[in-house]
Amino acid sequence: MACRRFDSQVVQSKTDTPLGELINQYVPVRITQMDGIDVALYDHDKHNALYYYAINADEEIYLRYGGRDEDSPETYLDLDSLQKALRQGLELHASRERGEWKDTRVRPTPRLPKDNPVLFEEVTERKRCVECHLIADYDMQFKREFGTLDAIRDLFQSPDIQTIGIHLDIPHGLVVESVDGAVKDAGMLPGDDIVSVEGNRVHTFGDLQYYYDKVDRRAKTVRIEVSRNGVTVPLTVTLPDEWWFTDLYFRYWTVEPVVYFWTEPLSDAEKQELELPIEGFASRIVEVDPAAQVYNLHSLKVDDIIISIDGEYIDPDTRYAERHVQLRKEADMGMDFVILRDGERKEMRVFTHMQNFRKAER
Amino acid sequence: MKLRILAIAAVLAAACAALPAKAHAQGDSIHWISSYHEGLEQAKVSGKPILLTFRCVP
Repeated sequence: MACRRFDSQVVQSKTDTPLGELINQYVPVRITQMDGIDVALYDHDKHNALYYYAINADEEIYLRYGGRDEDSPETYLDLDSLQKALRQGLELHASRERGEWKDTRVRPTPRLPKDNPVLFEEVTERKRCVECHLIADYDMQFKREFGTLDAIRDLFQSPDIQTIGIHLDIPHGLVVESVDGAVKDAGMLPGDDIVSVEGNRVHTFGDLQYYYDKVDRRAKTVRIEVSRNGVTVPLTVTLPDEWWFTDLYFRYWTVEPVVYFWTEPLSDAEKQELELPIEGFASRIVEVDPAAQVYNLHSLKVDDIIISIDGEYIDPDTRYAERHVQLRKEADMGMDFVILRDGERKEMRVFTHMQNFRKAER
Repeated sequence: MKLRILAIAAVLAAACAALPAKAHAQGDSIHWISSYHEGLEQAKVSGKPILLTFRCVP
């Protein structure tokens, strides 16, 4: 089970160890079910099985510790960086006691898990344990049902900082180990210590991922400040196209619709040759999951070129056909595809899929 | 004989009482509170910050 080893090392630490000594300077609270927890205040990505907050008795958040990437829920969990975070939390608490630290965040309206009527019916009323993943699952269902889903944000949560070229020296928290891509172009250097994102002070990867996730998905730039040789350096990073994209596989019981194919966009030259719009999502299929046949969803093949879907050729947010489907379509829905197969234009009916595990029948 | 045993016991008892209290506290486990609100109360009383862990165990 992911995070088990890290969790046990923290929970079972002894008071005469460096980690235990730090934890002992806190009131250590461990929550394993979310009933009664204000999930509007503690609004981290619920697809993290392990997450920490340093707070005070007035429920003001000093910092977050946790977060994951596509590869693993444990990429950024490290005992050295946790100890660094705990020391930072103690410093922030001391500065708050001196009147030097103020919580600048506007506290959101409290919300309990049972305030989601879908979760209330499926979990609370049935006296099931309210787990973090269930909150994520039922929040998604609620949003779809009540028309409040913002697909580009709600499906593609926690964009990966490596997409813009940030590679952290993980045991040292937010110290940058190496850079490439967009942040390198913006002037970020190895050894820089990231201190803020869009004006929000960050102390840990958990903070960084949290505030990076808040960036408007259609933004063209993001402001990042770093500390370099004791000097704060502001950077304006130009965001690449579809910087927000994340692999949804580890979320697949939550996000819909499920599409069982993956594509690569055609090049501009290929689109021109086929007289297709350059800005469109014409894409070549590179992989098909056999589940598509099992569920009788479609008969798309590798190397098929998807030209249009339901008469649409262009999506302002993506150049990938499957992402267009994920952003614009529903589960258990039929669509009219126009494809090129071996140079021949074909029409094909394609269906999306709903994962039924943990889904309430409504 | 009885007096000797009592004397030895008294010396041992005095020696134990003189041990530093810290020796008993070394290597203790952390006591994790499972109630969020109890944690807030303890933080109010102690003045300490809270380390809040959310551990999702499916």
